[in-house]
Amino acid sequence: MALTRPILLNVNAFDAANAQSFQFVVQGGDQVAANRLIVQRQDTQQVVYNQKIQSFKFQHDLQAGTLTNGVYYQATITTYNAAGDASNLSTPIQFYCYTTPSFAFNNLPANNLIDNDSFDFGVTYNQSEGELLNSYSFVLYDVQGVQLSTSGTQYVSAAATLPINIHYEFKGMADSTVYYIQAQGVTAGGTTIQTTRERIMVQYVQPATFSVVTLSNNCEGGYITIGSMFVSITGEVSPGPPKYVDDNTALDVRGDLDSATFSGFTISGDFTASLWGRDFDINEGDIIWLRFVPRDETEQPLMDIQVGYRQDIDDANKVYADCWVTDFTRYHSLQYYIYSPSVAKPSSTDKMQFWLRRIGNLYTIELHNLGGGS
Amino acid sequence: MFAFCGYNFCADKNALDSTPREAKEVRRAALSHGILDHWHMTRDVASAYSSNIPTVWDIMTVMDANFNGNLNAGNVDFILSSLDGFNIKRRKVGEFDWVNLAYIPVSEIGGLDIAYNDNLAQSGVEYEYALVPVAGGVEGNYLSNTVGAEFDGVFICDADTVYRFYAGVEYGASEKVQKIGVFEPYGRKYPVFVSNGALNYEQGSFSGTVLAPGYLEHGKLDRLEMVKERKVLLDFLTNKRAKILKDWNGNIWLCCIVGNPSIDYNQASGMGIANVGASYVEIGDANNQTDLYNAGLVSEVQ
Repeated sequence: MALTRPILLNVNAFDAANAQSFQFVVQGGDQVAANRLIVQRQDTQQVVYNQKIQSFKFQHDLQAGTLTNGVYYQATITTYNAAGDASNLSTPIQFYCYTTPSFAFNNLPANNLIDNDSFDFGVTYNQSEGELLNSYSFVLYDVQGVQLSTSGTQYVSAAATLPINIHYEFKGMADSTVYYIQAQGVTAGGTTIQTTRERIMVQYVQPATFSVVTLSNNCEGGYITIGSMFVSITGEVSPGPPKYVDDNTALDVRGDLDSATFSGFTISGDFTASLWGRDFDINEGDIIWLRFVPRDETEQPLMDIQVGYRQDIDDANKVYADCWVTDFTRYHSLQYYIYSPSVAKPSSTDKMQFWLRRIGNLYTIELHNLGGGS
Repeated sequence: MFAFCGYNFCADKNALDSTPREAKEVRRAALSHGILDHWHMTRDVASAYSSNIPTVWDIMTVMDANFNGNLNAGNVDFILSSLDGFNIKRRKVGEFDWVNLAYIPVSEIGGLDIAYNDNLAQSGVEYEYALVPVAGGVEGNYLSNTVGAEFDGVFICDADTVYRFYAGVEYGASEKVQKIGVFEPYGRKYPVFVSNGALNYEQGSFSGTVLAPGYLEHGKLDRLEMVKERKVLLDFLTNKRAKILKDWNGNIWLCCIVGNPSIDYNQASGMGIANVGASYVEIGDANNQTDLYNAGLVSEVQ
């Protein structure tokens, strides 16, 4: 009985710095007592490895460092029986040697603490010989390692260039809960890679003491009612566009004709209004102007409340706020005037606060110099 | 301070100022002549003055604008005109996967007021619900809250209708159906157990007394109303649509009504009071998105 032709099994791309096992299959024939693995460069057919080992196993282990990364190889196997007879050469297989790619999260926050119920996890893939990423998936686990959710297999565009940035957003993570997140990928050469499994902690920044979602259990009706308490108010700046300053944390309306106007809301009865800012114009127009208008806004307004910012005429180093309340429904538009105690005049960088409260038909106006300027 | 003949008597600089008449509604606020850092209006007039900028929106807040690159003064970071609609989602507290109950287009919403009844919830379970704004087919942030579901009675319902049984409610013996073959070949002492199918569902029956609306409040039995009520119930049971059968114990079945619903008249009441009963077969998992969608109880597959 003779030896049958062995079948060398395909191998995915691997890092030449690591050892690699080549496995083969033999069907029938004599018992295999040894095998010879021959590895050649695909481009030049140069033989880079040719070793025979004595082994009954259908496997030939290639030592680390034998091959070179970035090269396309082909390999064949020959088997031998106890008498030293050789089989036919196997059909060659081809494979790449690529350096192990880098595949790691790129945007996890400090201490892996996530302050929201959702997070867009990002991973960067790079490979020194230019091997591209073929597909990837993100997996979210609970604290015990049970899979909760997965992105499913996502494919990378063929036009992608290295480094490749991939991302996936998981939503609905619970407050004060520990999760584990991991990304897995398959390279163009068929190599499976994965990131470390990162432990993350979700801690909401603002606990929900108020929720825009209202829920009501109807015991006798057998249902839950879901309602909303959305308030959507968007201001307008005239003339536009809005000018944001202080690293996009404040709105500049210092121009003579500049103003920010809010409408689309209604407040009846008592209220408290506060405005924080700086560098207000002294003795110019209204800092705050609240208008009471009828339902039909083409009609005359009913009342105006106007807050101004004034120089104290008795002390050049002090300022105050005043409040005019004009009642248009009264004959000759009756006016009501109050003013705040004076405070130290601020610099252009000192934070100021205008505070107005209305209870019934009585008003309180306060001005505070909160300092903090340089 | 108090007002007398339109004047106040507190010997301050405003003592003789006339007080304006109380006006009704403020609907416009204009801010100018400065660099604005934060604007806040609230109905709270009980809290003392504070220089701290509020960090949370509460039940009294009217508007709050932080001017951080935007002019948003509401409690949501979207405006109605930019949205396509809202997804309404639900999951049991402690689980991760959401069940998408419904999608409400913006055109069906008055302002931003959403009201939706979830008839498919299970009693005794704590749920988390989320309203998710959708713009351009992309979901925004989940706005969520939790509630414990606690129902009193036995309910047969679908997405739009709930019928409550409260008096004379009974369950017949139910079965857990499986397909098992027992093969008794020659020469063996024991049979061969054959199971090639995956069938595993419940079937059973229920019945309850149909009462006139409001009977539990005022105890008045209106014969004509009870006849109408039975007809409505029977039409509902025989509409060939999937239903949820659930009760105060926490039982819940996604089922279809099979066979012929029965009416058992109470002779002592002159056939005025009757029990209506029906048999059901379980057709899926009442908490599974795909099963609920296939049953037509939710309009979204995910």
